[in-house]
Amino acid sequence: MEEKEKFNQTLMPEIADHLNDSPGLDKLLKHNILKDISLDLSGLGIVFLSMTYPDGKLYFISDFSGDRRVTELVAKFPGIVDSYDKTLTIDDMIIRISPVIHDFEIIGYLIAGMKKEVSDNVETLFHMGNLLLKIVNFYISSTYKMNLTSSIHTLVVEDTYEELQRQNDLLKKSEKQYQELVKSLDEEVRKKAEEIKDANTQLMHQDKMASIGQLAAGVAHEINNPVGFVKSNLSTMNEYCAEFTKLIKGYRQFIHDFYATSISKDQNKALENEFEEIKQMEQTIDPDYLMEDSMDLIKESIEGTERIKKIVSDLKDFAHPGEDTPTHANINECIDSTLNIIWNELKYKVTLVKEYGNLPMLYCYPRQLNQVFMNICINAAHAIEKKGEIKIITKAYENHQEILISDTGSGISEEHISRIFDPFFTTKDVGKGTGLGLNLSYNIVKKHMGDIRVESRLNKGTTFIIKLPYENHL
Amino acid sequence: MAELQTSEKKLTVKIVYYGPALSGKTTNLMQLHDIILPRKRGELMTLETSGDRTLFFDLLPLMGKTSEGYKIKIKLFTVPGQVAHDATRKAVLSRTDGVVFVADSQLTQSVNNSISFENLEKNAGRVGIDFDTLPLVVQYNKRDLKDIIDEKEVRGLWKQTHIPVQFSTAIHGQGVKETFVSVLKEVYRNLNQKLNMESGLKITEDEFLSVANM
Repeated sequence: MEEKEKFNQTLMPEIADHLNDSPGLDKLLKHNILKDISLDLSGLGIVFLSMTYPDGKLYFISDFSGDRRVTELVAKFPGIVDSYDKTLTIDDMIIRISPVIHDFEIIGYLIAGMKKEVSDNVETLFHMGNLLLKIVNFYISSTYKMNLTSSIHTLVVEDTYEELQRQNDLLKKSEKQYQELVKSLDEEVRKKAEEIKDANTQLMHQDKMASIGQLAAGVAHEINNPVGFVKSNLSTMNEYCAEFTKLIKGYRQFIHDFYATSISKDQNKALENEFEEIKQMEQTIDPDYLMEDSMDLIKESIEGTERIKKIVSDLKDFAHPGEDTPTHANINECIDSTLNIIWNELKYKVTLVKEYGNLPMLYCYPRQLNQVFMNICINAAHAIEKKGEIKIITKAYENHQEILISDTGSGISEEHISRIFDPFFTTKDVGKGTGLGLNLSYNIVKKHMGDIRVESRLNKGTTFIIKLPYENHL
Repeated sequence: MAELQTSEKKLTVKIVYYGPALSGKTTNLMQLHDIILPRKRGELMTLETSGDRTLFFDLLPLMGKTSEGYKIKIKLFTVPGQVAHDATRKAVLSRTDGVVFVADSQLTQSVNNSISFENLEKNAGRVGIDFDTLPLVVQYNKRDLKDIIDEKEVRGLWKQTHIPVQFSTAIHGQGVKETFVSVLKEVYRNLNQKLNMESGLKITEDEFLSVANM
């Protein structure tokens, strides 16, 4: 439509000029060609050559006679001619008038004059006039052809240029589309690469956890045996010790009594000396303390072995491969078992406050949730520079359980808070943090259809809030 | 669009011979030039190129006079048939009053015929001609050759369109004048509606058709 309008507005008049209309004398027969012809005519006896419009108005005149009458004469002619050639004699001149016809129309008159000096002038002028007419007609038709051709040519060039430009635009457009496609493909590839990288990292992490689990299981088994018999021996020792203590107490009482009642000061000097030695020994050794402390030591050692046993069992629980099946678990117990493992990281600078609610069992992957609690607690400990508090609150709601883990640490800056769950995002020094802990935690909570979010104020502390619904489709 | 100059009592009409390459458009004009009375026609203007192919166009002007003194000028154009010269075809086609579509009867040319006809329709649209009302005659040329499309089949093909169909052997002058008269009739009917030729300008159909007189 646009093309059509443009065609009509800008090009139609030109076509109309050349294809549909007949151009006039001005366009078909230039002055210079007439002038050129007339130069030679003077040598042939012609004294003037003129061309007029159909209405008699002068178009061209070349006068060699110097006779002023010529112009006046020419002005009279149109009244006396029509569409046929004529030869007239006016005063001392013979004049030949020929209509010039183009496209069925008289577009002008060609007028040539000779001095009436010799009798055969009429004949010469007749032929001369015909020849001139032929030249003029040929010239006119050539010019007309050229005009038509060049106007068509112009039109075609413009049209072709427009068409090329249109195609160029289309090509540009399609090139742009391709570029965009390439860009979006790049983006897609980058995204996929990132996804693969993430998945790979998770796999690596799982692999690592599996290795740790195997190692832990092996170590736990090896430790369990000696710990077992040490504990058993200690228990026996404890019994023995109690017996020994009883016995030694008896001996001492007997010696004390015997010395006080039965032995005179001089009767048995040797016995007395021995008794004094024992007394001195007792003073140095302090058997009362020894007996009491031995019992305490054994009791502490038994407690120690119990703790070793618990840690080993927790370690086994924490990362044991092949046991990743959902079970019913108590989240409070899960948190405790996690704290047990990381207690070393916390104990010197953290005061732990627990406000556990009465939680019903939750169907979940306890080991995975343990990882979540561990990651958050360790992060909390790292956020505390010297001394601070970690508070763990658990609450049961109708449809879900909520775990809040707060610390009084350095907090998370606003620019970082939106990215903390992103994989590989870490503010820790190179080699200290992988940037995966919270990402993994996030994924685990999401797997439980739960929600994890964070509230933090710089230099005040951070609170992680985890919601775990009962209905988690596990 | 026909040009009417009432002050000069002059009507100029443009008719274009369209069609695929080498179907005989120029031959039609050459034959008309030879058939029509010399005083009624101008010279056939061809822009000769190597190998007899029309590069720009051919032009044959014709002239008629009515009893009321109206001059009727008819300009016959041909277009270059070669596919590459589409812009030229478009330019020549603009403001035409009628079209003769010269088809090549040879069976091998039927595809070229339809491509060219589609091109005509497209270019008519591009230069603002309403194709549905455009006076149009289809001429099946080269009837003297072997392996040509059957006359009955041709008539069947065009029956639905109500476009007049002519058969010709332009090279021998057969059917050329009939085609021309047929398109003149179509043009007259169309112009009569637009310009009120018969009752207003007092140009009768016979007078209009007399342009084609031998």
